[in-house]
Amino acid sequence: MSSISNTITPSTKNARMSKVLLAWFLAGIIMLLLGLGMVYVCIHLFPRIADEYFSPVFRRAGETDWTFYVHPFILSFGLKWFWERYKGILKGGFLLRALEVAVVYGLVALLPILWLTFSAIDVSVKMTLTWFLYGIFQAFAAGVVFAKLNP
Amino acid sequence: MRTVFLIISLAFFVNAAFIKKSVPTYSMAKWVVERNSSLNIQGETNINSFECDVIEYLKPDTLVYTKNDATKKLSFTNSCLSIDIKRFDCHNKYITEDFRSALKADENPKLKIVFVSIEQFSSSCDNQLVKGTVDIQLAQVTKRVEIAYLVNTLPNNRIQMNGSHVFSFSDFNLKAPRKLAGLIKTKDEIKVNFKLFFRAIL
Repeated sequence: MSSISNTITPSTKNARMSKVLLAWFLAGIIMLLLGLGMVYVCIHLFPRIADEYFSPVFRRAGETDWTFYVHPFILSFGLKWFWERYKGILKGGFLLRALEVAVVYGLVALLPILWLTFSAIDVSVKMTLTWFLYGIFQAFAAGVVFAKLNP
Repeated sequence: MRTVFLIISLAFFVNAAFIKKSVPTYSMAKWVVERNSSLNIQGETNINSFECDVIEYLKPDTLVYTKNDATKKLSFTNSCLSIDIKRFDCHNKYITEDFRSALKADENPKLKIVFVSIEQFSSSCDNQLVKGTVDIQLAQVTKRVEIAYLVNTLPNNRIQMNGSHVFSFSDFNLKAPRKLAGLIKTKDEIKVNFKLFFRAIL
């Protein structure tokens, strides 16, 4: 035990920390870009669903816009913690491990919260499904980044 | 002497005729707004285009004007069309609700069109283009605009006036609807088309 702790010098600790921070930030950036791309895809391929964003249940753009652009970094933070805690039990290649992260996130976090959202707010099933897929794709992208940078 | 007298008399009559012509005469009349008058608004979002209609004008408003018979200009007094914003139907429940909310329907439920004047109006026209001035009152802001009307006189003293004008939400200090941090947005310009039917009361 003492031999292991002796091998973790402050410099390796710093290097590991910066690698973790880089993975968190990179995953956040990739999820943000992916999220914007998916919104544009939704606008062009499913305009009827996108029209629903004009519903009064959605906040008007304005002072809180920044919260939307920050959400991938919040998600990245949560997924990064999950990755560091449980990466040992995620086996297989990087794509399989990323897929497993996405599925776990989808089942444990997204499904119950979207179920609750649907029950409480006047949004359609289709819209809720797009959010589910949106989250799954984002988590998969984050999983790929983590599996590559902090395997 | 006789010739001089004749010339003076002639000059007097010509002058009198000229003076008579230059004094403007006015006539007063009224138009009653008919129920089948309608207003249509065309707009665009980055998803789709949309149209909002008010297909029936339920208030029996009357427009009162004086007509300058020489210039054919109609000058209106206290003549206003008042449209309930909550009656706008955009044929999509989300856009309808959002559009009403963008126009601040709860605080200012009426869109008012105050007729100011119409130039060169003839009581018998067939697709004649005339210019007019109206004040648009929306969300406690008044904007004066010049509108080109296409005027048609119809049987039974009825008049049809069609016109359109492009406005911006910002003209009335309003914000075009934007959602999802601005990723979903409505263009600032909207085109307002109107089809007005009046019945003239002499």
